[in-house]
Amino acid sequence: MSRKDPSGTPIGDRFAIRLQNLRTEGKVKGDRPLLRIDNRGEAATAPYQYDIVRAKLHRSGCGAIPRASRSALLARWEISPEESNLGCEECRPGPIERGAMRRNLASDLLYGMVSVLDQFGNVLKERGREYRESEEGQQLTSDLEGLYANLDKRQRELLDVALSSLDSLLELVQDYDRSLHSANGNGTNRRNGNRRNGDRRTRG
Amino acid sequence: MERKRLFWRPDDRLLGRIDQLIGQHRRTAVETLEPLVRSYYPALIHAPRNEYRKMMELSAKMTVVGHSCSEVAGYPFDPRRQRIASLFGGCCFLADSFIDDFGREATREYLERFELLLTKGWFEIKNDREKLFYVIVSRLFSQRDVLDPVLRQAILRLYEAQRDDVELRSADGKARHLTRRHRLQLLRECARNRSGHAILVLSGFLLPELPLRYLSLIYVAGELIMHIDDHGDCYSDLYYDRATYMNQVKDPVGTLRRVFNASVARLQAGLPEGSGRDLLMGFLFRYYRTRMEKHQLQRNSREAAWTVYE
Repeated sequence: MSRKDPSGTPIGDRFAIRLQNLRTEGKVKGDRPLLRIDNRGEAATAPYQYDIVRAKLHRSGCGAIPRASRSALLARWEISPEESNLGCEECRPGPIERGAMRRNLASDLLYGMVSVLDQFGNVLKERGREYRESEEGQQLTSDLEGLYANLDKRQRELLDVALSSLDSLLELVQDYDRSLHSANGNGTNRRNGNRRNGDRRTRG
Repeated sequence: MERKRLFWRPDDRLLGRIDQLIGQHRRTAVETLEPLVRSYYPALIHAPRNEYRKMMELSAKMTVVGHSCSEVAGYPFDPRRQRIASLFGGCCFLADSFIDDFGREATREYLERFELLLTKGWFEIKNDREKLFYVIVSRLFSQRDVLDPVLRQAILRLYEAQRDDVELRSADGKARHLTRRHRLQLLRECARNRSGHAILVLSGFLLPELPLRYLSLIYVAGELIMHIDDHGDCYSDLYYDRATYMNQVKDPVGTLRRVFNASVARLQAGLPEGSGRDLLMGFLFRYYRTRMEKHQLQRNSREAAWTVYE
């Protein structure tokens, strides 16, 4: 493995294995997802279904979808003009107005960041403490203190505002997340964020 | 006889190109997978039943299929795509072995754990074989946006096809009470989905997008590959009590020929003319021919079951 392999690195492999071991060792919240590939829930609510076997595009629920094709349907959230010639003659799927679809990329990213901090918080804190006490950590602390000391008054004020805003924003999102969890029961992974899976687009 | 009845056969120049590509992609498979095997599961290299060589052959085959899919979609089959296809071949080999080679209890447990990997991303690594599998999967997942809607659906569909296949095979499963006709229909659907969705996963990892109509045609090629494969494995599958569509139909040779002709005709009519389409159709012909030979060899000798076939 000393040869450089662009399809991945031994460090990446070790990281991936270590991540799994953290759950086995009970150091992270294993009941919470790390990565959810399964989007069957969202796929079931998509407006269109493409029958891969017959090369036909249907509206969801169309009665002309053959039973034998049910295990080979591909959910679609929009259709392009060049795909309209694949449309089923019975349900005649037409394009949905794109403007009606919600796009929540920024909030999805923020939720993703918060969920990682939440799930791996203990590991991060432990590593942070260890790092702070290490030689490199001590050096970083003194560098940061030096950097802060050298900022003029206005620059310090700007940095303080930015840091406290980020803090407040994270608290706000966590509060909102908690209130949604209690309102929806166990809402595990309902907002893990791929906007293209249509979870949000079709509810707009 | 075969020559007269097949709808299409490649010329010698195309067959020569495919021979050359198989050799080239076998080397890519070894370059990509061998360092991982040596690091995470070195025992595989000397494992019984030629497992290591079988893994490389499957990977080389997947790489040729990936090559044709890339060219069909108009993308170069560059070194990165070659490595992705090789990784995918290794991943399929190990996943198949978890399902087929360690008994019913292990199969059931693997399916449960794989579902957890897909629904939550967690995978408990219990031995070196699983460590190698997980490393290959994580490398594959890092090659493209695994949350792409088409790719993630194809992965889930492939998982469901594997699960259904296990269920159909099971002696106490749902297939026990079905009529022969209904059971054959389900076995055919299952074979279609196992390889049809696998080839969509492969193309999902290789290509940023593929037009819908091409997805269907690539899927047709996948279905044909499965039937050819199952015909080649007919005797070993029967020996291990694995029912497949091809080992249950009354006239497997005639059935396979009809499926071949219908599939190749669809590919010829639907895929864009060019080297990608030629390569895919040529590969399917070559695979058909070599698996017909494998079927004959295995009928004559039980020993041939563990021979490594190209």
